[in-house]
Formats: sequence, C-alpha cells, structure tokens
Amino acid sequence: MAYVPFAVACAVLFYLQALAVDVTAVAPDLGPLLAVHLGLFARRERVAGAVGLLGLLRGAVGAEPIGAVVLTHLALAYLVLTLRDVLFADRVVTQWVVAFLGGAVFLVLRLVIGLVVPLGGEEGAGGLARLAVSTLLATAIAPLLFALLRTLRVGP
Amino acid sequence: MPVRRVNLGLVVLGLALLSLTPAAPSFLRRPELVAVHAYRPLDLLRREIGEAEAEEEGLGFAPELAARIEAGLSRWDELLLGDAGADGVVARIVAIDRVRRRLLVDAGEGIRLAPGDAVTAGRFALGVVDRAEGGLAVVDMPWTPDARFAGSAEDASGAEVRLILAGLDRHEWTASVSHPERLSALRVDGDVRVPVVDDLLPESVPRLPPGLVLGSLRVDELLRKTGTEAFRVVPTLDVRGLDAVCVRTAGASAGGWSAGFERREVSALACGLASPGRDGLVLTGLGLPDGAAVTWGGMFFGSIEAAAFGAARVRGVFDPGQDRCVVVLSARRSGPIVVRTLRAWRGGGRLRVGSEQTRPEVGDLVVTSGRGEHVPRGLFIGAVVRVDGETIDVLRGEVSPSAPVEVLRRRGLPDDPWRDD
Repeated sequence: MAYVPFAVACAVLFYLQALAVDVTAVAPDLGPLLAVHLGLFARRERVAGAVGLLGLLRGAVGAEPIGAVVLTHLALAYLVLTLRDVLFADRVVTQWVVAFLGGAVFLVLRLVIGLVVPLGGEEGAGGLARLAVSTLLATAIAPLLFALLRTLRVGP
Repeated sequence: MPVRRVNLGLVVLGLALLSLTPAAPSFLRRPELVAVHAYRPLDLLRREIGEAEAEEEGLGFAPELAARIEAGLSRWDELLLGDAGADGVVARIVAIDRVRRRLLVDAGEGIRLAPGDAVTAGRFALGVVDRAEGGLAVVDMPWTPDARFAGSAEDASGAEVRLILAGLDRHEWTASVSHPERLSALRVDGDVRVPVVDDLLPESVPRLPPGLVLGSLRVDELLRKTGTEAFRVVPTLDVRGLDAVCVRTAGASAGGWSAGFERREVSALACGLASPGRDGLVLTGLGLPDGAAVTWGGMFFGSIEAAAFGAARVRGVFDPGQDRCVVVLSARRSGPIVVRTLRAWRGGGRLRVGSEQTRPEVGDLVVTSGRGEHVPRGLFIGAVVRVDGETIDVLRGEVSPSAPVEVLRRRGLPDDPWRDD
C-alpha cells in the first residue's frame, strides 16, 4: 500500500510533464528527479520496488524501451542511496547539487545504454541536446518537488 | 529451511535487463518495424475504414486531397502492373525477410493467391509465390538461398544463353550462375531476363512471364580469386525501396476485393509523449495489437509499438530515427522512396531522403506505403513544404483534439505468416 500514493503522484507528474512537452517541446524531465528523490528519502528496503514502479510509469508515457528506462532510474537511485549516509539531504543546496550531478550521471547512463540497445531517435538533430536540457532543467525545481512530495507524504 | 528474503532490487534489475534481450515478452520490447503495402481503389479502402462517414460528419480531410491521393496512386499502380492487364493485382509488400530474402505480400481480403503465381513490378520479374493464404503470400526471389530460377543473358554476339540462378547465402543479395548453355563470352553488366523454357518444362509448371528483367550479370570476384571463372546475378531493382508489387494470378476475382482492415475508435491521453523531441501518443484500451496503424482525424499518425496493461504506446510517423518507405505523389511523378526521420515538431517533421532517391518537390503529397501488417497503403502523412538538399520538411497540419483517434487492424492474419509448413 505504501507504493500507491507514490504511483498516483508519479502518474500525475508525468501527465503534466507530457502536457508541457506537447506545448513547449522542452520541459523538465521528472523521471531522474524522482529517482534521486527515492535515493535520498525513501526507506532503503522500498527503493527497488518504488524505482521499478517509477520506471514502468515513465516508460509508459515515454518513447524509450521500458527496460532501459527502469535500468537507468534504478542505477541512479542506487547511486544516490549509497551516498546518502554521508550527505546532509535536508539542505536545499545538497538537494540541488545531488539533483544536478544525478542528471549528469543519468545522461551518461543513457548514452552508455544507447551504445548497446538502440533507444531510437536521440541521434536525430538536436535530440541529445534536448534530452540534456530537459534533464538538467529539472535540477532547478528539485528542492521544490522534494519538499512537495515530503509534505504530501507520498514517498514510499 | 529458512526462507531467504527476495532481494527486490535484484529482481527489478533482472527484469530490466531481460526486457532488453530478444527473450523478453513482446510488450517490453521495441518491435522492429519492417514492412510495406499495395493495391486497389483508395475510395474502397476509405469506405471500409469509415472515412466516408467521417467526411460526412465534417471530420475527414478535404475531398480534393483524397482525389489527388487516389489519382497519384492509380498512376503508380499502372506502372507496377505493366503489361499484366486483368491478370494482375497490386499487392502491398507487408514485410521483407532480410535474412531469407523473401517478401510477404498482401493483395487484400477476397483475393486468392496461389503457389507459383508470378510476382512482377513493371518490367521487372521479382519472384514467385511460395505459399499463400488468401490474399497473403510469401514470395521467393532469385536471391532467396536455395531458390532456383531460370534466366537468360546475352553473349558477345547477342545470342541468348540460358542459365540457372541459385540464391546465395552471402552478405549482399546475389545469385550464382550455374549450368549455362555456353559459359564463355557472356556479356557482363548486361540484363538477365526470364527465358522461354517451353522446350524444357511441361505447361503445368508455373513460370515467370518471359522477357522481364531478373537482374544484372556480374563476374563472381570471390570465386575468381580461387581461379574459377564464375558469374553471379545481382538485383537491378531494390525491393527494399518498393511499396507494392504486381501478382499475376488466376484468383484475382475469387471472392471480391476488400482491403480487410477493421477500424476501432480508441481514447488517447490528451498529451503527447513525456520524452522531449519525440513524436508519439499513449492510447488506452484493451486488445490493442502491436503494429496496428493509428489515424487521427483520418490522417496517419503512427503505429502501435508496445501494448500492455490496457494501454498502448504509439510511435509517431515523424519520430526521429526511423527508416521508412513512403509514397510520394505529385502531378509529375509518383512512386515510393525511403526516408529517415530526423526531427519531429507539432504537426510535422523533417525527413532525409537517400542520396540515390528521387527528391520530392514542394507541394508533393506523402502517403503511407502500406509497410507493416496492419498499415494500409495510401493514408495521408503530410505535404512537402520545404526542400533543402537531402532534407525535406513535411507538414501534416494541426489535428483537432476532438478528432477521432482510430486503430486499424488487418483482418484474418495468420499468427506467423512466414511459417514454413
């Protein structure tokens, strides 16, 4: 049951993201941001399940293979999870820095996976640049989103 | 024995990795879009998929646009039919087996194709039907490994030399030449045509129409290195860039022609995909088949690439990174070309035309080639609005959010049309 509010929140957020992409072509990518949030604040034993759910939802409304989406989000969340004991996660600056570095790592992961599994599309003109902009754009709203999710207590 | 707790992280990781392998369930994989279509009066198809009703309700696209598509396709179909006359039916190329070098063609519901039917395209002979199920048939070509075809080439004096072509399992599409009546003095680079073989085969054995071009004769450089003088034949017409073929069959009017597509209106999320720069849609509904064509407001939007859990993801026709065979229709010339999608934007996209392909011009219409099991031929994709070297911009136009989203599905397809009995 702990996952239900989180799943609903993710579905709403991804729907809003898809609407924004439809209008502006570039919008903050909330997938890696939510993976960072899980890595920072979720209960350790629930991270895997929550990230699996997150990847499925993001994959359903995205264009990439669902497995590749789950894999990148899982790797990102576990990277943050291993570091969170030495971080002051409640500080806004920490959240900003971790979200920014997480976004950068996410891009590298996508590139590496893209070498093995064709993700389609991103080799097109400007595709990678757009992905980078949307991923790093999310950094700006990281503390706000984290605070919102924690206030609503929807994190698993 | 104590039960150990399952490590959920490892399970999710394993499933994610599994989904990236060929062993994954189909809904987790990205299906390869191979394919093409063919055909028949477009108004029949439209009536079948319900566009006529949509037009009455003011939802369809302009009748003059439909008439241009109809006229352009008819001109191209005439070229494909060549001299086949009433014996020929146009069949879309549904898919190409690039390993076995065979074609899957679809002449529509009601047509009865039969093994041995000749498959041609204008002045070219492409192969013969190996097996058929209604209007759907698997076609063997001279390049199919183990297939045997009779051919004839000219020698230096212009005399005809008959030979046997056998498909080779090499990287490129080619056939070996064996048992020529005279090996010496064959004219390299000349056409290899279908010979008259009435003196060799009884009338009951099906054969290709004589005089059509099968390919071009080349010296087999690979065997020449071993000191053997040998020849091979390569295709003159690349079927990968072809949308349809002509099948010369006696079953043309067996059951009356019908494209055999059923349509179903579905709901779509009122947004595109969450991935920036991508063209697509998420549909909701049960039983949506992989590969089904999706139309929005009567125009081709894309194909379902993954369906599961009561939802389906549609890959838009302009989504970057796809190699697509499309048909370009103009008053001057109509025919298929292969394009690569580069960029998508609202209501259109940018495509790159191959260097050896005919460049479209501003104002030309782009329609589906029918490649894909469930994709009809002749659905409107967009109009060319800009040409810059090898890149062209195609505009589909804005679609009203209230316009119906429909899924098209070919009726009566066998589970595995390629299956060898």
